[in-house]
Amino acid sequence: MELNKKITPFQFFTLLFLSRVFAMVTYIAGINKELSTTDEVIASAFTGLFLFLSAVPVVLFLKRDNESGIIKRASCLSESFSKIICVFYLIEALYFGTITAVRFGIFTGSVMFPDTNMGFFIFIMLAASSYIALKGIESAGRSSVIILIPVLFALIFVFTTQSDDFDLLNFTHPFTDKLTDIISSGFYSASRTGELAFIILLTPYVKKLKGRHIYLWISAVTILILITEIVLAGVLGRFGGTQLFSMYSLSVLAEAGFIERLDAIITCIWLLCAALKIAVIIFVSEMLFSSLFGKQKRLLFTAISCAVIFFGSIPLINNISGFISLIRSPVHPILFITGVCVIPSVTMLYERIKRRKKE
Amino acid sequence: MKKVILAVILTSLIFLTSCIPQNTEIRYRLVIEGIGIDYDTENDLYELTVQVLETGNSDPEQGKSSSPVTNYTVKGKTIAEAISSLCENTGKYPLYSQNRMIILGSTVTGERMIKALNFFVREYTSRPDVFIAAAEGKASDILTTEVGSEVPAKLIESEIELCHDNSLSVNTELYNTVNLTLESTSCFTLPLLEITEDRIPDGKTIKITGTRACSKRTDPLNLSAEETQAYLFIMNEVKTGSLSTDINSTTVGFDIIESKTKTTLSIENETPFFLIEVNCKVDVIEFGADSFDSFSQNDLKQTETAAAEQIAKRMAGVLDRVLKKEKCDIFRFRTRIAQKYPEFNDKINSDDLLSSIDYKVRVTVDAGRIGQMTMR
Repeated sequence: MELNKKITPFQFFTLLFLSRVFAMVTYIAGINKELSTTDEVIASAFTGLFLFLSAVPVVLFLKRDNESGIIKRASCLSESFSKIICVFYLIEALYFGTITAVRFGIFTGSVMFPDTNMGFFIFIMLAASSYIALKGIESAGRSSVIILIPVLFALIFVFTTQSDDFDLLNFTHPFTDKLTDIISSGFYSASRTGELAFIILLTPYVKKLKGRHIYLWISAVTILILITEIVLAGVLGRFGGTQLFSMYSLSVLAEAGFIERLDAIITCIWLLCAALKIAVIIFVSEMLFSSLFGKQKRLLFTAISCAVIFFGSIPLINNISGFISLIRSPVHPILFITGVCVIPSVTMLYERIKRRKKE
Repeated sequence: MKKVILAVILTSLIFLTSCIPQNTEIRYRLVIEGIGIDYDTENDLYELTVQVLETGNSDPEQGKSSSPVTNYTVKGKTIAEAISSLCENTGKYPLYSQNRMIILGSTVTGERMIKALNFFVREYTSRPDVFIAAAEGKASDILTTEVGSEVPAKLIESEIELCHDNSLSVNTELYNTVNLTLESTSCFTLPLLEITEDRIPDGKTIKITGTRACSKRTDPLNLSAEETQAYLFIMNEVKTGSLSTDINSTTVGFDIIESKTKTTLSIENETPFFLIEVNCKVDVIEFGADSFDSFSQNDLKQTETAAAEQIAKRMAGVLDRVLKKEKCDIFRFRTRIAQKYPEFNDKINSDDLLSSIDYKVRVTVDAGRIGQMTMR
């Protein structure tokens, strides 16, 4: 891991965008409270709103210094404060890594290869992602730009070929559900965007990171989520709610002329997103381990991160209700809010107090 | 050197393909092409006719014109149980991803039908776009009809697609059916299949004779071919097709080139009012007059008016019968009401609401071409 090997904001946010794409395509119906179709679309708009709001501390944090990451800035304030932050982000990264691995395991072990050992697929994916992570953020960033092309092609293909099946009657009257349910669904969806916390951790690896880059990325993510929800509602209607992976069901229906049954190829493209997402998480974990122990033992820390994710995901893949309970629990939003809003705000406040004391 | 060793190890994995469990090989799979579901009311069991593609053992040298499929019949309390017994009998694993058709016999209606389809919604490898059709009589009879060297399920699938393109049949896939069932206010429609003996000299053939309207709660209702076309006009599903009408004892044939239906909902006197406007573009392809005289402007106008009147009459007829008389909402009127006027939500499922619905059908027909004839 060489600090002079920085990636461009475009490569960085492409990496994060693909990472969020995987969370979106493996969205499991029934995790949040089931809303009527139009209210699901409204909830997606709230997701965007929450993402914009929660990005404010991150943007302010970068405004002051967009060269050092939060760990370095915290260590300038207090070594113990830095260690606490390290531990928190490590827990967050490993938690999100475990959840991603479980989603991946359920996805491959159900719609792709039913009745097969999901743990085996997770193991293979972790091995591939570790390799990417060990190659460094630069190679991941470069790969992400290449992978973005087939991913966008797949998404455009899935969305545009469904126009014949799109039925406005599948949309319900807006606000059929309670406003609190819609807002809470939007917030839970926003809290799945753990990538927002990675921005302040990976700042040292990105050239000239600006607030507008973050808002552009959030806009892209929000537009994608909104389009997905609109197409899902218009094409599948309530059927989407019956499917474990509604986005996969949508891709099964995509066909244009003689080009049909491309779901296998589309699924493979999505798996590339999974590999990148887990690679970013492993990279972040390894970086945090290094900061925590003050040693650069990349292979060891990568192996430890993989082991934690693997052994954390095994009990969950065999217990889907336990997994859903975990996702529904406040753990997700608490980690998100703390990592994205609380810690950067506290760090900025601490910096300000220390500066004033110096003055 | 390390890279070379790694490359050799990875390449050598290709020689391990024989270590893959046998159940993933195609000859050890039951490649399902179609499934017919009937219900044995005496024993309270689902009776499944599973059409499986022959994946091996065919010997073309013997010169036999053997069927490309094998039909298995199994029974079970549930669909899963029946399929499971099929696996036990054949020693093969089912593969649903190639399944083209699910045909429901006339004994599989109401909740029994929903329970049967539940399996296909939950089965991971079953596709959401598999066609669903209803059989007049037993589904097994339809699926086991001898159709020469063709795969019957594939033939039925092609026929449904072709008939739908020609506005003769509805086209219902699994996800549409489930979606409308979950909506609870609407009924869904399935193409109605029947065996006929009037098409080919030595044998039977499968024909789409109309539509079956079904719901979880009500008894099924059959629509004729003409009613099906009128229903498709109302639902804005007419793409192309043919139509004929009589003007002054002369039969005129049309090709439908394009049709657009706009349904507007409003509330008049506290009751829902639907204005259904159809704009249909046609080509006159046959003018059954007793001479080859040129076509007059007046003839054309009369033709357009007569065609419009005929379409409107059929549409009003199917609305009167299905909606008013049979109280079966295949037109998703209640969904439209709930979507636009949520104040009706309290009585959205009541039959009184259906009775109170008022509608008006307005059809305009424009003839684009008149064949090779000149205009007077």
